[in-house]
Amino acid sequence: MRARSLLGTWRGRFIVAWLAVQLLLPCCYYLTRRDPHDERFAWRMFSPMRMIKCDPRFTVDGARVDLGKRFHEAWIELAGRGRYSVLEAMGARLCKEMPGQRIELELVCKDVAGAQERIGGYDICTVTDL
Amino acid sequence: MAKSRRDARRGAKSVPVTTPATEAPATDAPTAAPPAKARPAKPASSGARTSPDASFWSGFTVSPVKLLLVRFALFGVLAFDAYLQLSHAPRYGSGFNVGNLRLLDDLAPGRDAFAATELALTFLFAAFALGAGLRLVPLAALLYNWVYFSSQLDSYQHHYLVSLILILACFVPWRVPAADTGPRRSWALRLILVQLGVMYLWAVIAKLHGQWLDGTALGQQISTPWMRSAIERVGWPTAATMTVLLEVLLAVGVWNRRLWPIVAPLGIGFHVAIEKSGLEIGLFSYVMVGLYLLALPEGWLAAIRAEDARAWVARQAQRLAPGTIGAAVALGLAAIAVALLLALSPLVSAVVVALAVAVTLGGALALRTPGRATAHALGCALAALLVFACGRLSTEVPEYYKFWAGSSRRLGRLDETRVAYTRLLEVKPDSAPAHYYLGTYDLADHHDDDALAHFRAAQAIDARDPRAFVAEARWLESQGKPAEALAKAKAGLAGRPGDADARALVDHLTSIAPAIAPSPAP
Repeated sequence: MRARSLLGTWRGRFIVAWLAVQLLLPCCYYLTRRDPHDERFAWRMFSPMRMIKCDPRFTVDGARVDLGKRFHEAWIELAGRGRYSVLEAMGARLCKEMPGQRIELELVCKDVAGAQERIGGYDICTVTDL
Repeated sequence: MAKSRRDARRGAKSVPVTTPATEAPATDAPTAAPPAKARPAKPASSGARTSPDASFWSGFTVSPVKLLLVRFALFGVLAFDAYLQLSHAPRYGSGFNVGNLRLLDDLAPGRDAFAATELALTFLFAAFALGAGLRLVPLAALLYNWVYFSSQLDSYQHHYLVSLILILACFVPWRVPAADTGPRRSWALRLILVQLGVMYLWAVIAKLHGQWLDGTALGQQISTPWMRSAIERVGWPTAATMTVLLEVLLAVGVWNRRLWPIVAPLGIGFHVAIEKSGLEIGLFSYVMVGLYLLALPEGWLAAIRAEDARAWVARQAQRLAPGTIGAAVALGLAAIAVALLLALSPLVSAVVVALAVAVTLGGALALRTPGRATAHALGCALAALLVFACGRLSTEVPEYYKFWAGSSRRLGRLDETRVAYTRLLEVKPDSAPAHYYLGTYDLADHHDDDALAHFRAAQAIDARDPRAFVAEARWLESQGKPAEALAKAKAGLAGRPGDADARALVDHLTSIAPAIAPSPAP
């Protein structure tokens, strides 16, 4: 009855929709998001994950790509947080600029306790998702 | 006819209330608000008006003085926050973008559009803080959300919060007429507080992690020495656990009026402490303090009589500028402020776009509401002057050009780099790096005299930076003047004895002309 009365006005429907989105959207981080480093929209300020430092290495035929000459440093900083969507977009850009070449992406991340994790290490032009 | 419909709608939305007993629980009304003017209570038109669920939202009231305080503090902080984004503009338009919403990947602003938008937002937020142009809150929300969601370059989580708050702010009756002294009812303000509660709730869940609870993560994030030593007394795990418990309390209490006497000081203190912790979080703490003004118990604000202050300002404005002449004078002031901004601001292209939009809309508003034309125009004039003052007094504009020049240089965009360094010198003539890099570009173009002038300017400004000395020394060597070259290289090395380039050049020049002089020990 109460819920029905709240849903009886556009304001009530707006409030319910707003709260549903705000309560459920962060769940995506915990339940479905494949990139643990991507904490956007999950209200994870100052979380341990935010402290992770990653070293993204793109190599073309074994030679390391100098990202600083191809991407603004703000994007390199985001890549250094291990954000997959940025790394994959960088990979897509490199594949487009150097067609037909094998471009490998390896991501080495260290968490606050010093534990290391390696991700990728394969041709990002063939397998586009990390 | 249309106007009357509009007025009727406005009356239904912007809701000065008489707090009828059926609409709000007793605990939800400002207890110390001045008595409302006698008005007929609106009949409850639906069950939504009377049910406890609905009245939790629609029955939420705040006093005018609190609304004015929140408006001034929140939009004032947002104005400064928008202005401080200017130096981030060179990140945008580099030819690569990933959106916060991927469907907006290709719609992100470029450098100029970003700068123009942030300037427009500065102007609009400043105007809102001063009570002008409040109908443009949806425009500001739209601009803000576009910039935020179209690029991950904005990584501040509090900007996500601001983008949400601005959407809700579109539904808040910010305008408080001078004659209206009754409490203001607003479901949107309640939803803003509940939104804060949701944010704290998820922040708690994020911290239920071993590396947080054992204090490791907290220990790595706090950099202020006095705060570190204070926390070390209680222990990092204890401080981390107390943070979680405090956030639980804030999650429950920030929207609960009965808990405000506890939650407001705790919340404000918490965010002031975060500000002092050395975290790089922009103006997040100030935004939160502005929002916490909403949770101040009404009794604490009883001493402030907003209507007296507003009535005094209105009387002075009427004396100063009665009627339409007043509006004309105020609009004239606004025009002068804008003209000054245009004439003297270094970010001309961005300023032109931002102000063209803001002034056109502001003017249209002023003309559309002649009764408030003076107030609108004065507010706009003050806001424009504020933007102008920020541009002249802050370091944001030099930073903008410095970052633009640096990123263009690293990306190999020579033409852009030259333009950026030239503009940097216009606003900051004592920039040694700008002189140095412009000197190298002039030298490459065989404009030797110009290059030397730049190198010497850089040397005079910063004798500890060896780059300009080394560059001139190399030029002198190329001109067949090894003795002068060695002297110059030595001067560079003296500024920074460990510099590898200067050291190598001194060694090289000494080796080809050993009779000139021995090199100094580094």
